[in-house]
Amino acid sequence: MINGKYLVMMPAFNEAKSIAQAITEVRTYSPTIDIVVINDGSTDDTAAIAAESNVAVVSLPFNCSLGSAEITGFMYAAENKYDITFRVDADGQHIPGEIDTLAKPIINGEADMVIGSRQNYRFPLARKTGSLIFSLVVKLITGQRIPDCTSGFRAFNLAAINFLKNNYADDYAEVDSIISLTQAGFRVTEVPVAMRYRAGGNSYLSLWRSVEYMLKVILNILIKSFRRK
Amino acid sequence: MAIERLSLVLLLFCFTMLAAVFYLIRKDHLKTQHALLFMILAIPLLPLSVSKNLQNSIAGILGIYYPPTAFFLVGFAFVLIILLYLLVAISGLSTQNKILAREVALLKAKIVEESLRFL
Repeated sequence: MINGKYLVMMPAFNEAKSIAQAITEVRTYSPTIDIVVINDGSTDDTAAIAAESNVAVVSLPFNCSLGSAEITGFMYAAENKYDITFRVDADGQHIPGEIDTLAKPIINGEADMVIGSRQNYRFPLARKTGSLIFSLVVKLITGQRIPDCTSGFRAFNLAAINFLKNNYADDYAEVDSIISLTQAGFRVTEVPVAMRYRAGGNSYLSLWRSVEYMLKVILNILIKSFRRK
Repeated sequence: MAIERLSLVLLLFCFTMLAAVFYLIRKDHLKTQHALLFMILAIPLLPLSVSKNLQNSIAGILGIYYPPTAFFLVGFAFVLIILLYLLVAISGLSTQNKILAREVALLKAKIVEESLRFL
């Protein structure tokens, strides 16, 4: 990667089992890259384990939501003026070796936000259907084809970070952020990356939350599309 | 007679609610801003609870067969309005709460970072 100020932000909620390994992997990939763990009110030792790994830890006083944790990360990145911020899961799904792939379109000046699209991943049928619906909604609204809208493995340049810290949904923001960035004139692109399955902890998305996710995202998008006009 | 007794109960209920609102404002347990909507909605229920003519005319307009039901219909509509108002207030508070939480978390992290720098 070329010279610059880079940050890896890891939102984490009860990820004590996997956070140390996730941090070590990022460190192995790049010993100099800055890492911030956004501890979203975990009730286990996530924050303590992250602090022992010598990374910056920002602990929310209570469980706010994934979106809120991400906004906190954007605020941190904006305040410290990082050229590129990578959003990496703390559960070990995202492979730090793929960070270069994510950074390329930003470094080449082709994109403001890059989404790492899961290539070798077998989704349950419900999530696959949901992903297809989201992809269709994004295509209808923005005209852009993003097959893996819900992937959290992303890279942002400083301009996108400055926009998102003030314009990011509090919850279930993955799809919404693609639309709001595109409509604000930012360039969003997708690159294929390899991804692993969760190493531990609990996913934000249980079966019920998946359904809730679908409904909330679609409702949010519909309401906001009226507001944007 | 049954309607009169009902009117009396409704009247007492309206007065009790208004008195409770005044008491809560005085004790600083309720903000005037929130109480205002409650009073604006509750005060029209007072004449409706005692005046049979008013009940009859509203029931006539709305096509209600049993006039005292008009009171409950209007009351129910008011309760829904108050519920919506409260949900808006809760949404605002929740957003403000999370903004504060984020600011506190970042400030705390900054303090830790600064203190480590001086060690």
